[in-house]
Amino acid sequence: MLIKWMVAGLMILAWVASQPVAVTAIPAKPFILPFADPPGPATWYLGQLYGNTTGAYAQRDTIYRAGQGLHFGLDFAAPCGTPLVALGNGTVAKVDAPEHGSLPHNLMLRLDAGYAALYGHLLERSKLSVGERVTRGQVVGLSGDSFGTCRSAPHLHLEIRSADYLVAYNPVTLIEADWDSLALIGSFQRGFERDLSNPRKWQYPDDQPKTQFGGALLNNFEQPWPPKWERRR
Amino acid sequence: MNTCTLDFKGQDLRGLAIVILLAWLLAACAQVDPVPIGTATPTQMPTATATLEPSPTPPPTSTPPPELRQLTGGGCCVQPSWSPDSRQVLFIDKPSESAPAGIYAVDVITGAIELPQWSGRVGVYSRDRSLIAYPENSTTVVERLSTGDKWTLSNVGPVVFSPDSQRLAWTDEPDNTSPYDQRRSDVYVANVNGTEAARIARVYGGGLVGWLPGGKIVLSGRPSLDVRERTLTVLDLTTRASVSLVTAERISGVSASKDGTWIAYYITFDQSRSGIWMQRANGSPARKIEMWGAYQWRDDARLLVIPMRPPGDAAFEVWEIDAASGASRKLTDAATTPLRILNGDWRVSPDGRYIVYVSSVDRNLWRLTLPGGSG
Repeated sequence: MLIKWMVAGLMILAWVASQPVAVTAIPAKPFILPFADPPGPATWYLGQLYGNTTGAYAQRDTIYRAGQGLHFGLDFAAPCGTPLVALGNGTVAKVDAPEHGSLPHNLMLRLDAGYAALYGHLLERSKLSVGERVTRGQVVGLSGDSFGTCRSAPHLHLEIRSADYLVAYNPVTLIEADWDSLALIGSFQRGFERDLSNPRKWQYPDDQPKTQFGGALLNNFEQPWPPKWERRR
Repeated sequence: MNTCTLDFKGQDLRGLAIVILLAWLLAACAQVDPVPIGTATPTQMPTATATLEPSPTPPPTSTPPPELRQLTGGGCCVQPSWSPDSRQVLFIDKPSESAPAGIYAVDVITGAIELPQWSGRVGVYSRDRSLIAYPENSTTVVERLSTGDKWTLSNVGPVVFSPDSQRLAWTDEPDNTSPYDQRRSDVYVANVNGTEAARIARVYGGGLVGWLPGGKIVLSGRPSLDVRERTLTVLDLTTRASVSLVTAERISGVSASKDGTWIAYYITFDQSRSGIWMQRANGSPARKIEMWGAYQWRDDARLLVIPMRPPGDAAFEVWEIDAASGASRKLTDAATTPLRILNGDWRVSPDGRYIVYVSSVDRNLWRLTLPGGSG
């Protein structure tokens, strides 16, 4: 009888041990998407992913040079004027800080979870003030266009950085969302640049290197694919 | 879940070894299978209906059920494509440090992986695999693989071979710094050996979309900087006749059916016009699809749509739209076919029988056998 109870007890312990451990600290993905409305053809959809994208590779020597040749944020296509919400609780750190790019207007939030969030290409200067508290889901600005026209490339460029702004992280790993579903749209040309000497490297949305601003190019591949068709000068 | 049973009726006491074994077995039972291995067959499949609601009607007995089959292992690979005969899935890989990089092929029936003789070089291939194009010193080299003949083109962008592998087209964008919608794009066509190169169109904020069979190309863009909206146009290179399909500020995702009869595209951020549309390439009235998701042509008459799923849903579903009637039917059910696609990476086989996709569960390539295939 005693052995039977021991067996049962050990089985219960084994079952408990096999269950996922409840996380009481900061969740692995502490942030929400920057939109209050659901994605759709009239609202917003995922544009360019973070990391070693083919688009960033093609411009690795120009606009993405400071970010080691990577696309150091996420692009969400959205009509100009789309309300943008705070990813999490935090404080307004900077309003229109040109040193961080993504003009014509940008906004930097210092998030309580220990990161900073840059909202880029905003339609207008955010009405928030430096030092003002924001709560998760609160509208913090309106989306704009990187060329300022609202017809060229209306989108939000969103970065999640270290608190000192020197490192950019992959938002896919920090924002709770159905990324598989979001990635369905616009996938015709979506993909990551290959290095044919190691073509499996950095090929998934959540498997991308962090960006050290000012660091060396990470994707100066000897055997890139697709190649860049250079213009003859 | 694994299926495990434990028998407590026996009175034999086998000591600590048995206790540990039982505990280990129970722990194993509590684990969820991380990867669907082999095949997974749904038990029910609705058939075609004229609405978006699934039909309870059982499928015809001759229709194979949706079946999932793993094609590659080890987290390989991305951006698959198909051989013209639909027998192999192609993908770029370098499976080991000593192996060559190239376009590998996995047989969709046997699972055998090989590096075909033609595919040792990565480049832009013509549909019949007779030609390869690649950039070299700010030019494009076109090479006929059977003879080694090479021709150099002074173009400045990726080339697109015509379906009959006789011509190629490309877009030249002289100024890539101005706003996207204002950039001038010149579209050129030439024979594959570079002769008879000619500019056949100039648009702004767009360019070449692709070829249609019969010497036609599809263009998108603003005809001039004075015009706000883009136009999707089919241009017959022989007669120079053009057909304007649709005009909107944001047209994307343009995709033609295999025979060029139908065109599908997105219109976005355009209030009630926003969504997926399909239209005959001759300019007949367009039809809006009441779903939002990704799409690809299954054949000359059927469009496959994978809708974005509501939050919390575990698997995607594949729907089929009859282009002529607009009737839709659900081909797979999320409850019975665990279709999980990573990064929107899926391709329909040329014969319309299969979908290959990158699994978000194990990151390998999987094959989905579609019901109602033509083969």
